[in-house]
Amino acid sequence: MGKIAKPPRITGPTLKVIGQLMTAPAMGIAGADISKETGIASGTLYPILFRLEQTKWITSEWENIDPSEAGRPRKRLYTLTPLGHRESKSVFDSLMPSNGRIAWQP
Amino acid sequence: MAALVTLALAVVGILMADEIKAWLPTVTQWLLNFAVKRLPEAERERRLEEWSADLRSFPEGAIKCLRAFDLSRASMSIRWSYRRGYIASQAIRHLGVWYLRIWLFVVLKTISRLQSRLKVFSARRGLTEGSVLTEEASRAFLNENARIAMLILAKSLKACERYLGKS
Repeated sequence: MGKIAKPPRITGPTLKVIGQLMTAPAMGIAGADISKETGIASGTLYPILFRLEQTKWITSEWENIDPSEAGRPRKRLYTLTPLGHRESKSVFDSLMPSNGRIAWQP
Repeated sequence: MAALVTLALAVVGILMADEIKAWLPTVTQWLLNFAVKRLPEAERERRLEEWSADLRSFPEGAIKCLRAFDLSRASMSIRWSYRRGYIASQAIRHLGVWYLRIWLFVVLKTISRLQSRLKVFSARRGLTEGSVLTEEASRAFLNENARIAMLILAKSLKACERYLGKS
């Protein structure tokens, strides 16, 4: 599973997740926060994050706290990789009609 | 009588609700453990901590329980992706082996054809001394077939490279 898998299927929820990650703080965003912001259920969200991580679009690391001191388990924080930024941008660009201009005018 | 039944039902309802409420954290934890157990072993430890933290950020109650229930859907999907990735990598590996085997077969077949061509070639020119080829015949044959031999060699090397790249 160490290899880069083929690019993920871009679905509505995937776009929402990518959009959320693009606006996330530099230290990253936890799955629960993405879920709260986008309204995506956990059963859909985590497979999407898993696939994005497999394709190296995103990376994740543990929150920098001591669980015994904080009294709660560490969160896993997700951030977009440079590859993810590039690919996400191209996905959003391709979805914009004529690069942001109105494609049809009466 | 009707009022008494209504009152009794209300009391039972309240007691049941309290009981269910008290059981919810246990059920949530059980659902979380169930979801984690369905994951591939390499993922379990990480997901247990990550999903525990996830559930903690939601208030205690039915929503949390439903979220834990939905996590089993997530674990099933992740397990399937994992398995599909494994099957795909195995398939590529086996295809690579077969690709090499076919190439080896083609190379050996070509060599045997070249050998038979060499015999015909030398027989036509009368370059054999008994059943042994003369040096001149070998050189002439090599010049004629060097390009084919190099092509086969290059193709074989490419096939090896491709195979090594995949595995």
